[in-house]
Amino acid sequence: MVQSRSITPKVKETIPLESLRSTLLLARNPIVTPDLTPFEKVYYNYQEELERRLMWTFPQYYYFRKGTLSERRFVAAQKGPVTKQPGVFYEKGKPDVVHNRERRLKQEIVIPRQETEEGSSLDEINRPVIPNSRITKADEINDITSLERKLPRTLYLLIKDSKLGWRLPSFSIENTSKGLNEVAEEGLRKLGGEAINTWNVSNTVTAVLKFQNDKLVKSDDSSSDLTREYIIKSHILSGSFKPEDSNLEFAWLSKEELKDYVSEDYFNATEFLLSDI
Amino acid sequence: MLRSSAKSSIQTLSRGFLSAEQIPSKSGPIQFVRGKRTKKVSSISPQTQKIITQLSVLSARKKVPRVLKLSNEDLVRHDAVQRAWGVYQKDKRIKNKSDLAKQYEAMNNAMTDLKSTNRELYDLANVREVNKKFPLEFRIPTHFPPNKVWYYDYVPKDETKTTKEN
Repeated sequence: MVQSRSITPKVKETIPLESLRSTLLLARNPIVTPDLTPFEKVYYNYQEELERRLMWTFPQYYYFRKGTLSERRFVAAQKGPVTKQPGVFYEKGKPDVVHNRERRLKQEIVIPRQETEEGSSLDEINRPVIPNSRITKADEINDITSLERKLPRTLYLLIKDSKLGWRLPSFSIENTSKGLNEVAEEGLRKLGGEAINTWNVSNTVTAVLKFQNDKLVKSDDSSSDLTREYIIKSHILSGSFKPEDSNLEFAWLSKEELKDYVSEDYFNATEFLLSDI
Repeated sequence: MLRSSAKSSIQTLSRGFLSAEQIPSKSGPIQFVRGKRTKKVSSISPQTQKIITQLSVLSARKKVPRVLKLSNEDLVRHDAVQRAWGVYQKDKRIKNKSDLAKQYEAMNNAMTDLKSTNRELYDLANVREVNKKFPLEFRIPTHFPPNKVWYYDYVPKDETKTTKEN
């Protein structure tokens, strides 16, 4: 402290280093695209139907040469429109067919599936694409310590403090030789093991939380007995958080879930830092 | 039997040839074939035909669907949907903007506060990170998760080793 005073003589009163802490806001970014809201779903569906209705006819003669086998296969796979016949009453309006397409409706194109012999190498290529489920095993058993839960959401690492309850991991500062971001990164590795790959966004602090006797106070409070927590933003890229101390409780939570874990004051003070997606 | 070969003793003929004067003079049985091509191939060269096909792909002729005619009720409905979407997007934009403003404000406040509490930490927080790069390991969200959702077997780089090699 004496040393620091000699370097920066302008500071009138030195605030003890013990009252400053470095807090880490560690995020796991979404792995899949966000879930659509019901409104978004119906709107996108409406737009797609409109677009398909107004789309030009598919020029099949360009892609399949006349008289070839592939053309025959393609034509056979199409459902084909209802054609206009003399003396027939059409309930849904007279058919208007050009280039094998009903002009009043959207064109539905069926891609013919190639038939292959059993055990053929083409089988592997022609197999239907089955996407992986967006809901994982961790979601089903509701394992909050897993990094594979809630794939469309950003998750944040929370740690249960024996005294203060659930909060972002926070680390004390021993000396001023290391920046706040380094303190946070090193503290995380001490707590959760070395096998974790993180990317620190910046060495600049994101926000400050001020506490007075373990109670959160307003950010513009400037009493002398405050404990300050400087928040550093970081992202986890690979590896996992495995606490050395097996008693330590931790959780990866989305913004909504985080609300139920932390106190109301704490959530209101950090809410704008958390992503809605 | 569509194509007559020179070696075959049977000659094929279409009805079109009957009227023509030049009846094949070769002796032997004559067989009539239905659908035999009598017209000469079109005068357009294959190259030109190809270009015509390619251009017709780009042209709207015969390919545009009927104009979409909406009734008054449908138009009102369509307008309502579009306006609702606009309002929804606007709300999202406002929320995003205000969040960003709050984040900037918080960052500003925190740095000002740090300046007053500890000058050294403040200076360290302001050091420009010159060679900082965006990590390649970051994943762009996809519609469906990959086969291996998370990579757990991360081994930290041994920094002491690399510095020795250098």
